[in-house]
Formats: sequence, structure tokens, C-alpha cells
Amino acid sequence: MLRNIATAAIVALGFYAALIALWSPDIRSGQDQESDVAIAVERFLYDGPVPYAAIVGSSQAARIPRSALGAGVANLGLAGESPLVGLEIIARRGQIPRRLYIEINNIGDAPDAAFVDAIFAEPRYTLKRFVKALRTTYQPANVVISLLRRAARGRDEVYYPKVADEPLHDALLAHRQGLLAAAPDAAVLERNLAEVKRFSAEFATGATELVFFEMPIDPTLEQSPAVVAVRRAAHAAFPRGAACWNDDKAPPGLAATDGIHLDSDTAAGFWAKLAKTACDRPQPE
Amino acid sequence: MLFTEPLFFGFFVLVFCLYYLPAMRRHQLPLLLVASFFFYAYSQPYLLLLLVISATVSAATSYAVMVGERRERKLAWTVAGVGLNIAILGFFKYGGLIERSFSASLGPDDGTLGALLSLPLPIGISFYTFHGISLIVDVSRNRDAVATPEAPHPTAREHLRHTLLYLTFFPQLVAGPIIKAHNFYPQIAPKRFAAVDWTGAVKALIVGYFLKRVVADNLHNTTYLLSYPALLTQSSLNLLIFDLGYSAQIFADFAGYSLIAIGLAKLLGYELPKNFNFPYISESFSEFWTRWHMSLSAWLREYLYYPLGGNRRGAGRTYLNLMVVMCLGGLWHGAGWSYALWGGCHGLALIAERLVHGSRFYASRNVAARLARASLVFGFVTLVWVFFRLPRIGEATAFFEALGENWHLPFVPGSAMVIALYAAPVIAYHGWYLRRRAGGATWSAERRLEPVIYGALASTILLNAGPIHAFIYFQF
Repeated sequence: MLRNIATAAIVALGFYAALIALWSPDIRSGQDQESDVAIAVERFLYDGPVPYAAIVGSSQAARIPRSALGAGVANLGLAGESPLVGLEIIARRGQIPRRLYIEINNIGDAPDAAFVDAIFAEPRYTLKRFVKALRTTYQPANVVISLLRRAARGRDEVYYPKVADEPLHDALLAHRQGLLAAAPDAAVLERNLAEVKRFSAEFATGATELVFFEMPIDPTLEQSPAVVAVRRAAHAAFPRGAACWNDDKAPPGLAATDGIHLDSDTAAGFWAKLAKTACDRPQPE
Repeated sequence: MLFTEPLFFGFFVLVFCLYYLPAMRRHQLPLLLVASFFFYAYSQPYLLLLLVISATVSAATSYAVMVGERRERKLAWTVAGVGLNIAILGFFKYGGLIERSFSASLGPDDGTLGALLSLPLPIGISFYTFHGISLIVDVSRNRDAVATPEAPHPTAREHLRHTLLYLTFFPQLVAGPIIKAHNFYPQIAPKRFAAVDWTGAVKALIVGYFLKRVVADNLHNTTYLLSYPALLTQSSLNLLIFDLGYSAQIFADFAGYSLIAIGLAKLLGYELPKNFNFPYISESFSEFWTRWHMSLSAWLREYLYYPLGGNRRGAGRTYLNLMVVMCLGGLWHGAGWSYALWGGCHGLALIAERLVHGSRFYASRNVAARLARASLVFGFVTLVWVFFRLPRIGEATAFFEALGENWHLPFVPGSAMVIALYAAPVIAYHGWYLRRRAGGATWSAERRLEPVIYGALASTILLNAGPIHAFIYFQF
């Protein structure tokens, strides 16, 4: 019995590994947010040469749909993570994109070093490069969910609609106002910005262009203590005379599902402007 | 240390290899004790002292009961031992709840009492104190309950070593199954490698790790939306589906853990009791409690329900006994009134069932009636799991309000798809049991598929394990 079980397991593993190696389905999103993060990271690390540009940020930047980005741009806006995590992943890969868009909204969040270490832990990091079936992207559940999404909606990407229910939207906004009422820990914010400076100095040696931007949020939240504190600190650390900033304002009638997370269409519209940010010369104050 | 962490595999392999070395045969018990202490101390080193104190108290009082000649002395030691175990459990687990409920909260800087009340919940305290009570009561009923093959009349030192093993045996230390003393002590003997039940152990481990790592750990990332205030934004249909998902998750998590514990114990030569017997096919609430967390049900029945009189003192007393047992059983799960409420709901269901037991609905054996009864039980059980998922009563209330009011909100199919995908194995698992129970001419042919099924499950563990999450029952 045990020998038969072991044989069946090995055959099943081998069959699935061969299937994924030959088929390589285009998986853009997974079964949950954690899978989506893993898929974004694995695409950046394993799928072909380093892209021309990359976005680093949090769940706010993650709302920019992949279909809006086009080829050559990776979105390392990772839900639940700080922009520093995306920068660390890029640095550890060793090949730096020519342009980096750095979201500052959540730059006050402490980076999760254990998360990054787990991504690059050997031998799984190297095994995943050669055995695609071991990647989160190609977990059987993610493949099935992707196929079901394509069958139902014609696309694999998660689509975030506008929140149509006004009372619900107001309740979410009120909740968010409460969360943004207090500024982030100043020491953590300062430390994180120093880390971003270190990365920018490291990347600048390879002539990588950095574009700092703030994901648009509900206008009623723009002057919240937390938002203002982060904005001021980021601009102080990277003044306009020395750094490239995107200055696009929030589009009129902005629709953020909970005050800070844009719906997919609005996020796509914002990206269209962000991608055109000109950084030939540093912008004057 | 979790059974699902990579470190645990290295730990167990080392223990297993040392355990069956010929030179270690006479030292297997001390090795298990060292391994169990290390296992427990890995996550809460300072609380290992409490575990050892509790075990020593149980060993000392049970030994006094065992060697006592006079009935009054034996009774006094029994009461003392049980009382001390309850006091330890009551203080460290419920002290905070009682204090919060009736007075201003003490903090860690408010003296020794405040410091002790501020300690995190000792992992496994509910389980090892119940083991201690089982030991003391079993010995009071029969002094040979703690006899082992090599020590039919143990000395105090032997009894202390055996009791330390009984209470700290790492496969079942932190979340059961609860094994009664008179079932564990007779197993304490040197074990041989040749006697290992490899097939039984591997099967239990494969199914256990599949339920935990593939089903429960993946469902965790979707059912987290069944939390406050996120649930306020969900449609009623989504809330129902999340609740169903949590029902599948808690079963897979706990049944998976129990099977892993059983498999690990088998590898070390010990048999732990079955803890789950396909509970979601139950056609009555009383049947549900013979299939869900069976070891706890058996413990409560033997050490609480029967001593209270069981069903031997008339209907009214029976109903009272049921409510007491179920409320205390609920409270055992967590230091929160919502757990008592959960237990009370089950108590009311058991009482209601007794009242209508003779009705046509309950007596009918046709398929439709049986399906209706099973659906009623499953639906009720699933709904009251909300008190587990949302232990603050206000949040649980908010769930039921949202369930009634959010029908106008849009249904989000994505999470429903994920829940359906991972609930399917739980449904298939129960379906497989029904098929096996039905037997029939084709069953023996289907049984030949078993190695393929176990092999597929094993490969899925490697390919589709979710992020590692602690076992839900660790918090109890």
C-alpha cells in the first residue's frame, strides 16, 4: 500500500510539473490577495528579462490593472506591504528596471523583512526558476480559478468596481478617516525614507530614473494627519529640485472604494498620466 | 512549534531516529519527555514551569488517591486534585474574563496578580488540565487505571514519570485528542520499530496535512473577510458563503490537526482516540456530538454529565444537565461569554431535539427526511460557528444584522468560487464515508483506487499548500 501511495504521488507530481512546463498558462491573479502578491513577485523574478519599468508600492498601487500597464511594466504594488518591499525585491534580483515609480502613500509602514527573506530562501527560490509547478502562480487552485474567471468574464484579472451603495461608501470613508487620524510613527517613517535614499543611490549608478508619486485618494482624506505627515516627510527627503515627482491631481469625480483604494477604471486612468511623467530635468519648486 | 513548520519535521525525524535506536530502548520515556518539553517550551518557555507544576500536582494527588487506604482520605485527595486543576485552569484562562466582567482591569504593572493575569493564555492548558482531572478521577474509581505493562504497581517516582508523559506527550499536548488516563497508561511501554503501524500512520498524516495545509490554510485567506468591520461591506449571500467556508475551515483545521496527532503518535507506538467521525453528515444534534470533537464529548460525558445524573433523574434534570454541560463545554473553548453562548445554543438544540424526538420528522427513514434533518443540523451548526469566528458578541450580532439587511449589496463571486473549490474536498471526504458505509458490489473495486487518492492528496500538499497559519484550536 505505501509503495503504491508513493508511486501515485510521484506520478501525479511529475504529470503536473510536465503539464505546467508545457502549457504555462497566463495567470494574472489568484485565489486571494496573498496569491496575487506572490504572482506579481514571481512574474517579476522569473518571467523573462527585467522589465523596462516597475511600480513599487502598496495595495493602493496594486489597483492599477495589469491590462492598463502593457508589456514592459511590472506592478510590484503589493497588498499589505510597504514600497520598501518592492525595492528590496528589485535590488535582490540584481537587474534594475530603467524606470521606477515609487508610491509614497504607505511609506510609513514598516517593511516585512521576513516576507522578503521567504521569497529568496533557498532552495525553493532556485527550484521555482526551473520547476514552474512549484510557483504559487501555478498552484492547481490558482490555475483553476484563473480558468473559471476567463470562462465567466473573458479575463483573468480581478476587477474592482465603483461602490454604488452610498451609505456603505460613506461608512467605509468614515472608518478610513478614523484610521488616518493619527500620523505614522515618525521614527519608522524617517528610517524608511533613509532606506529609500539608499536604494535610490544604489539604483542611480545604473542610470535608473525614479519617479515619486502619490496614489490619488478621496479629496476629503487628503488633509488627514497621516497623509499630510507622510507627504511632508517624503517631499523633505526627496525635494523637487533633486527628485522627479508626478504632479497629476486626482481626477474629478474620483471614486475610491473605501477612500484610498481606487476602482480599476480610475486607477487605469491615473496610470495613463503617471506613465507620461517627464523626468528629463528635475522639476523646480 | 507548529506541526506544519519546517522546523517541526527536522525535530520529529531526530526524535524518531533516536527513539528507535536499540541503545535508547530503555530510555524512550525520558526521550519523549525531553522532546515534549522542548516542543512546548519552543513557543512559551516561561510557561513550561506551569505545565510541569500542573503535571506534578496531578501526579502527587493521584498517587495519594491510589495508595490511600481510607475512603475519606481518597475522596479528600480526589477533591483536592480536581480542585487544584480547575483552579489552575480557572485562574490562567478565565481570570481575565472574570476580572473584566466584574471589576476594573488590572495591568501588568498592578502587582503580582496583575502580572499573572496579563500573561498570555498558556497553550494547551484546557487539554492538559482535563487530562489531569481524568487521571485523578480514573484512579479514584480504580487504582489499577494507571498500571502499565512494566509497572503494574508503580512507585511514586514511576508514577510521576508516567504522568509527566501523559500530560506532556507532544503529539496531543496542545490540542488533543483528549485521551482518558485508563486508555493511555496501559500503552506506556518500550516500543519497537518493527511494530510501527506505517500504513495507518502515513494515511492519517496524509489526510491530516491535506485538510490542514491545503483546505484550512487556504480557506483562512478568504474567510478572514468574516471579520469586523469587513463583514459590514459584504452582501448577505457572500456572508452566508463565508460562514459555510468557515464551517469547512474549522472542520479541516481541527480534524486535520487531530489526524496529524494520531499519525505522529502511531509512529511513536501510541494510539490516540479518533476525534472526528465525519460530523457534517449527522442527522441529529446528539449524533453530531458523537462525531465532532469526540474526545471532548466523551470526557464531558464521563466526568461531568454522568456525575450530574445524566438522564437518570427525569426530563427536567436531564435538560438542566445538558445545558450545564454544553455551556461549560462552550466556555472551555475560550474565555469569552460568546463561547458559553455557543455552547448554550447547542444545549438548546439538544433539548429541543429531545422534545420532538418522537415526531414523524425525526422517525422517518426515507431519504428526503434524512436529508432534511442533516441539512437542519448542518445549517444550525454552521450559523452558530459565527460565535467562534467573532468572539465579541457585538460583532457576532453585527454579522446577523448584516445577514438580514445586506441582500441589496452586490454579490462578489470570486471569493465564493474559492470557498467552493476548497469546500469540495470536505464534501467529498464526507461523501466517501457515506459511500463506504453503503458498501455494495462496486465498493471493493472502488477501494482499489485508495492508493491513487492518497497519492494525489500527498502531491497536492506539496503543490497547493496555503500560507502557514496556527491551528484554530491552539487559542483554546
